[in-house]
Amino acid sequence: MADVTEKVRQVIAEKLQIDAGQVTMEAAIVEDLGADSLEQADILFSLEDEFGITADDTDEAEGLKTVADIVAYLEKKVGAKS
Amino acid sequence: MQRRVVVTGMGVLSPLGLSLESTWPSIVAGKSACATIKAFDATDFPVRIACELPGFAAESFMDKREARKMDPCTQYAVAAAQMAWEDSGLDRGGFDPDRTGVVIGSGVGGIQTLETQHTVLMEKGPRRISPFFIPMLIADMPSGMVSILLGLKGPNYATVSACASGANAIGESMRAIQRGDADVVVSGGTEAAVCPLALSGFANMKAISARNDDPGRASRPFDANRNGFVLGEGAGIVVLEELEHARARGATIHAEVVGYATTADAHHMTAPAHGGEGGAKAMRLAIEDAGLAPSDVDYINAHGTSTPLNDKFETAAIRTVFGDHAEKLAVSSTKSMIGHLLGAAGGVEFIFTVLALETSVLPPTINYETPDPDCDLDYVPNQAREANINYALTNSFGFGGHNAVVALRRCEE
Repeated sequence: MADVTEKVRQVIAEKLQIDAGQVTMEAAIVEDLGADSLEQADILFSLEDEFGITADDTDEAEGLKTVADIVAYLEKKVGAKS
Repeated sequence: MQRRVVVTGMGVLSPLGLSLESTWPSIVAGKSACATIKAFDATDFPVRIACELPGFAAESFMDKREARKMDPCTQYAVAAAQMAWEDSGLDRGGFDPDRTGVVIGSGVGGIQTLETQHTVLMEKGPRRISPFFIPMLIADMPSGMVSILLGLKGPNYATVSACASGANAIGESMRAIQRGDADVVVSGGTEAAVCPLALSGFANMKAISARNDDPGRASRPFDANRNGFVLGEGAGIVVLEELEHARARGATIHAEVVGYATTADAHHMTAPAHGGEGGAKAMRLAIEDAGLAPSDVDYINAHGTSTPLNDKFETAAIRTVFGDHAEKLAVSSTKSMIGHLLGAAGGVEFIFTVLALETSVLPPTINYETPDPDCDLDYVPNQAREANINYALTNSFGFGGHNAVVALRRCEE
């Protein structure tokens, strides 16, 4: 669990060129961290690659707002895979 | 009365320096920027030399987060445009965003992005292609990003005419100001094509020199032993401004853009027309557009690529246009020092032509050693020369048979 959170924060910080400290669990990707639609997609695709999953349930994947939402989604996906 | 167009800002990223201040002294000193390629391992390539930018780091010119989303061709344009904008003084205000445009040319656009993303497609499949792939690839993004970063809302597009792209951009920008569509246009060319895909393509069409063991002498325009051009990269961006607009804000005027013409050879995909017919017509029309006679022209910054055909036919074209006056003309190719910047060439060489007028120094053609009977003009061989000149042309010709010529006048003030 801690691994997933850490990885998500790293990827978001790298993609948005911000300090990992800013990427708190409550932070909203668009409103708080300032990502645009292309950056959101870029983050998601990188996480797919990182965790070896496919976020093809687009409604659910596109509804992810906060860092915590993304972590929960990935944990569910990774859990279903194993 | 015709609206007049002047140059009030210039910015350069060249293989000889990451600013105009560092580039021009090396041009005057006749230095070559050609060396073994550093950006990637070219050991197995037939051509292993190029003129690369010396240590360009995008983050020293722009926000890192923005830079990540730009192909190098856009990064170069943004960096050079910022320098030109500061040089013009417009960074402190004094312009109407709605009447300020951006027209920047590029021969191939984001080819490095295309190359890396195609590898991703082959290795990881379609879901791994970056959502930034298309915006990074398209050749109009340099113009787009410069408008976004500087807040310029006037005419905005890119010109694509291979190695004439930068010159066409400047010529069309001049026209936009003359027509009254804009008062200020940020214009020029950018290119970032020193990459495995482009290098292989140019090598296999036998367009570039394979003088791998002697890179400093590979680009040798008009010399009898020339055997192709040297691939270069960078950007040359200028701020063009309507004369009264520039005067009203007390801007420094570097030179006046007085004429422009563009023609096509309608002959062959890559070879120039016999006798340089299309280039000759473009020179003649640009001189006419400026209201000049051929005998008024003192200096030509030649296209001068160092390919056997270009240099021979460009010389013939100059003789056709200038007749006896060709003996008095100074003609030089700065590609001998920085290589061929493709779509950026017209931008960078326009700036060198402005500097020749402004500083009364003609840049040399280096590596000129063995005369060629087909190339018998004064090429300012090997050494820069002081000369007070009033009018100059800059020639740019591109694959596809495009010819673009811009005429410039020295400004006294």
